[in-house]
Amino acid sequence: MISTSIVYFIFLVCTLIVFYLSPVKYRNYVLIIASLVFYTYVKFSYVIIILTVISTNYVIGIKIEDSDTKKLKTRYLYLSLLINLGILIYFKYWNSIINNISLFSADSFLKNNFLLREIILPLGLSYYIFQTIGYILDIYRGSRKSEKNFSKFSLFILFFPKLLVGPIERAKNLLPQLGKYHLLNKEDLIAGGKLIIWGLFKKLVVADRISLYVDAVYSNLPSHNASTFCLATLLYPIQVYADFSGYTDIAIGSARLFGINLMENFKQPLFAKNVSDFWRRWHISLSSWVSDYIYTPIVIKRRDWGSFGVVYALLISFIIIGVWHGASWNYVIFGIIQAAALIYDLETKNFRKKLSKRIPGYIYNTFSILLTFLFFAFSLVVFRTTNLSGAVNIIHVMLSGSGKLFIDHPSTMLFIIIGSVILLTSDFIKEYGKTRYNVIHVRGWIFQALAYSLLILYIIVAGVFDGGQFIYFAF
Amino acid sequence: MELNAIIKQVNKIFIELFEDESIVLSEKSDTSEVEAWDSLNHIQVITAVEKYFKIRFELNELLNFQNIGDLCRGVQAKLG
Repeated sequence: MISTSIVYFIFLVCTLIVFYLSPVKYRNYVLIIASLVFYTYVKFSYVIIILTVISTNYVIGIKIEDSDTKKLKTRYLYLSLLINLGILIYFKYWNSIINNISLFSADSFLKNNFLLREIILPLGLSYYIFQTIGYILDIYRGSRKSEKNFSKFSLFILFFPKLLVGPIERAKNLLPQLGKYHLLNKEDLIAGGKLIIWGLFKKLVVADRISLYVDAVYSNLPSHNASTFCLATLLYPIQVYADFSGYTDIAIGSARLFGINLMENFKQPLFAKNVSDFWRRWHISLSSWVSDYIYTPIVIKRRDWGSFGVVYALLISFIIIGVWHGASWNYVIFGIIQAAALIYDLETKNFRKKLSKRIPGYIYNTFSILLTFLFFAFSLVVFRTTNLSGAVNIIHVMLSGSGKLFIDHPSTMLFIIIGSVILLTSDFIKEYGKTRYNVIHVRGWIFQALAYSLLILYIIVAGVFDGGQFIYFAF
Repeated sequence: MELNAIIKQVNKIFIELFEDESIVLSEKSDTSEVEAWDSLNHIQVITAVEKYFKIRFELNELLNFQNIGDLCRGVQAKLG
């Protein structure tokens, strides 16, 4: 059940009606049942996996808290990691690991005996496994108590708006909200509805339109020239951003309709002024998770190594961010490229600070934003291609020539330009605070109603309604 | 040592580290308040504080510090 489909919205409205008609004390159960129905609709076997994760981690969380000794707490932590990472590795990485090991052996014993023929990655697995590990680590560190209420803990993992695409929620944000519901509230309905419409616009109009062009280029690499690759490379970051943040907006908006505030996942990332700034704005729930549970512990443990400790921690953290996306060397290299850029950022921080004082602010900031965008766009070439040689080839062609720009359908290009301009203008206004000019945040209900009516009309006219594809479902 | 005196000293460390005289820390100051202080150079802050006060924090202590107040109370506890 994709959250841009009619079925999803019928399901959402039905759940909302039952939710608000039910007494507050039963609402957690309403949402649990709705989430189970939602996930069963996606695929029944996924439900068994998620219920295994919920029940085992519920018990382990309590056991860690109740353990008297550090040694016992650590044993329970390892048990939880074994279960969670075991499930993740089995479904997401197993075949790739076997294939890679097989490269070093002459016979095909491993491939014949250990390759899983019909393995399917359960949707949302990486998101809820990371969320569960975060919860367990919080208890292990003593920064929060385990959740004793099983229904509340189940809903924390299962809550359907964020189940397939995140945000990767934190216990401190989501758990306290579950069970404290209020009456149907106009503010929540309007804020949630607006976010959903905005998310649909980002996904159906901007992302899916751009994907028509980018897919046409990437599906036939030998036929295209440098100009076309350059345009596809510049459009792809906007596609990924509109795609992922569009789905996230629908998720956050849907949750808001129930009075639940999910964490922010994107904060105008295409206006980041350097790569460190970018990673504080892009997929925040994953980058902050990695920062809290991977980067910080490593850098603290290795603080005697000086700046090499930071380099080491950054490399590990970004390789994990890369590999989170999938079991492919492309993602490992994508992670290493990001880590290298962050190390560069760190090493040149003082120099850039001095430079920024000598150049007018608007010029320095504009160049910084453009350079960061270009860096991200080019690093995504590795991310988008299915094999490394393809990425190298595209970059080689881009550097070695020009050629006539490929335009498949002029209307597609026109919709891409209009959609991207609306999206980037909205982000620009959010970033620089002039909210009264922003169609999404204009004051006065008449202007708002008009702006959103126009947006809905534009989604109907320019949206791609063939179901499309969500890039981040695959992760 | 008084908490305020520790905050004052940590403030000096911040000014020196980030070369910014305008930094004024309070108990509630965190990374969102001090522009230059982020997760990348957080460890420089910690090592500078440990070096100055001649103390060593445990991993778990450091992971649970949320703001300057927590850090300075941590220093206070170590100094006895």
